[in-house]
Amino acid sequence: MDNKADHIFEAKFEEMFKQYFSSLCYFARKYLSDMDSSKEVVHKVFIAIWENRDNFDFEKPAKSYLFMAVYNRCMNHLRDNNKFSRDDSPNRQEIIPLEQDSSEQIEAAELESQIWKTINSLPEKCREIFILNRFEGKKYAEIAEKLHISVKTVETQMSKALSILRDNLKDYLHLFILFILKSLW
Amino acid sequence: MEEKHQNINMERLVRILSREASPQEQDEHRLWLEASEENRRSFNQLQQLWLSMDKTSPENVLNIEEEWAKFRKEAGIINGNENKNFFLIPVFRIAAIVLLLIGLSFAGWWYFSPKTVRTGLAEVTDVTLPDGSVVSLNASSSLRYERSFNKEARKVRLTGEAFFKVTRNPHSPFIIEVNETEVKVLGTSFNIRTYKESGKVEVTVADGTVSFYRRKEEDNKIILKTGEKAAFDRNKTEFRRQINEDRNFISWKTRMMVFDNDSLTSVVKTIENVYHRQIYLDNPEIGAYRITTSFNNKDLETVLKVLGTTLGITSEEKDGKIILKSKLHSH
Repeated sequence: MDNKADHIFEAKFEEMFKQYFSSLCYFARKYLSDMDSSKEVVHKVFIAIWENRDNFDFEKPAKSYLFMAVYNRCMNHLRDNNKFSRDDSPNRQEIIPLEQDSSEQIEAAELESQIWKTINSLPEKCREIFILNRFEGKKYAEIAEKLHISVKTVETQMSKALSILRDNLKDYLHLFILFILKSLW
Repeated sequence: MEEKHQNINMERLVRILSREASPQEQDEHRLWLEASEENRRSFNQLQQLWLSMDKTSPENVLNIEEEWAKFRKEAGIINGNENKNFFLIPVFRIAAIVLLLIGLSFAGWWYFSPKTVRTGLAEVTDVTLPDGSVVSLNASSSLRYERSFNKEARKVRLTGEAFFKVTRNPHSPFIIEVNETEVKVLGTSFNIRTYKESGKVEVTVADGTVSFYRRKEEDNKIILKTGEKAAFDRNKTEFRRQINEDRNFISWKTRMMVFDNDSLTSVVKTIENVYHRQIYLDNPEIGAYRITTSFNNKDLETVLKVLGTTLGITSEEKDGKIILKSKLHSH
């Protein structure tokens, strides 16, 4: 038992886990529709890697391996739960081949993951205000009343949130263009 | 944060995006858009960023630290040093194996040891078997069954007397071992009585069909139907079948006795079986007296009183035994 090597491996594993876990979950959710099943699938993938760690090579890029593993498990899950049917019923899932469309799903999942990483990193009041407005549809006046602050403060915090989001997500800029194109269709 | 980008009024832009802008602000915004390509591009960026959040919600938020802790727990990582495999450590391995063996032998003992229910001298008790069958045991009787009762076959061993109400199961015959015989049924109700000295086994069927045979001689079985009875006499090693005429064959259980012009001798036999007492006739002749009456769950004293009045006899207790005498002679 080589303890030092174990320590190093574990540290790298933890880093990999924390880096990809949420985007893998959001990715899985595009196929499985519910968050709990998605989390379970991703956990299973990591457990499998851990149990087979003697054969895992950190030199090779982990990202594509991880997304592929999650994709495969999702397909198995769907197959086992008979989500694929021969007829054209509304429940029929489209089988999306890995090569074509999943890169888009992967990037969308990474975007979603990054959005939440950013929102969670906002100062507490700022985060609360932003979530109340953007996700709960509350108007500035309502938020101001609820939190006992001025409307001006709400405005300032909202603007701060959006700036931080824009700065953190500028790597995903090209996705925004895609979204524009999609919404035009 | 580079807010130095010319004229970007973030507050106004956010108000535009969250639809809080006043008509005046909207006009200002339109002018600003028309002013340059760069402005339009900036706004597009922010708008797309804003809209991309349509596809997500706070419910989907993940707590990474929590998930990592969950993972560590499941993968068995403790204190940074992973507890590779608890069972590889020799001491624990041996302890685990020992515990397992103890557990298994206990389970085996438990599973394979038979269960016996015995009744006392004047006790009648019901035993419910794992398949739901109910066995009413008369006094001084015993019923033995394996704990594996329900699995392959339903086998019990009886001494004394019992009334069986067997749950129907065509896939699993119910077999009663009694002395040298066996009684086999699929589901029915019947009484089995053994006589201590003679070893005689008597089976009376209340309802259903029963097969009765000497152990290992199932080919020579006799089949009894409702209302029939048969006795196996070990001395004569034969079965004798008859229509049951003893309507009181389960009085010991029901405490209901019906006599229809029955002789005192047979009445006494029934009473003995029901009340678990020994009754003697001081004068054998009184045995021929006939009586027609019924008793529904009465105590022995009442029964003897009624017999006394009806037949002109007295009852007396001596050394725990009951003696019946003709009134005429007791003077």
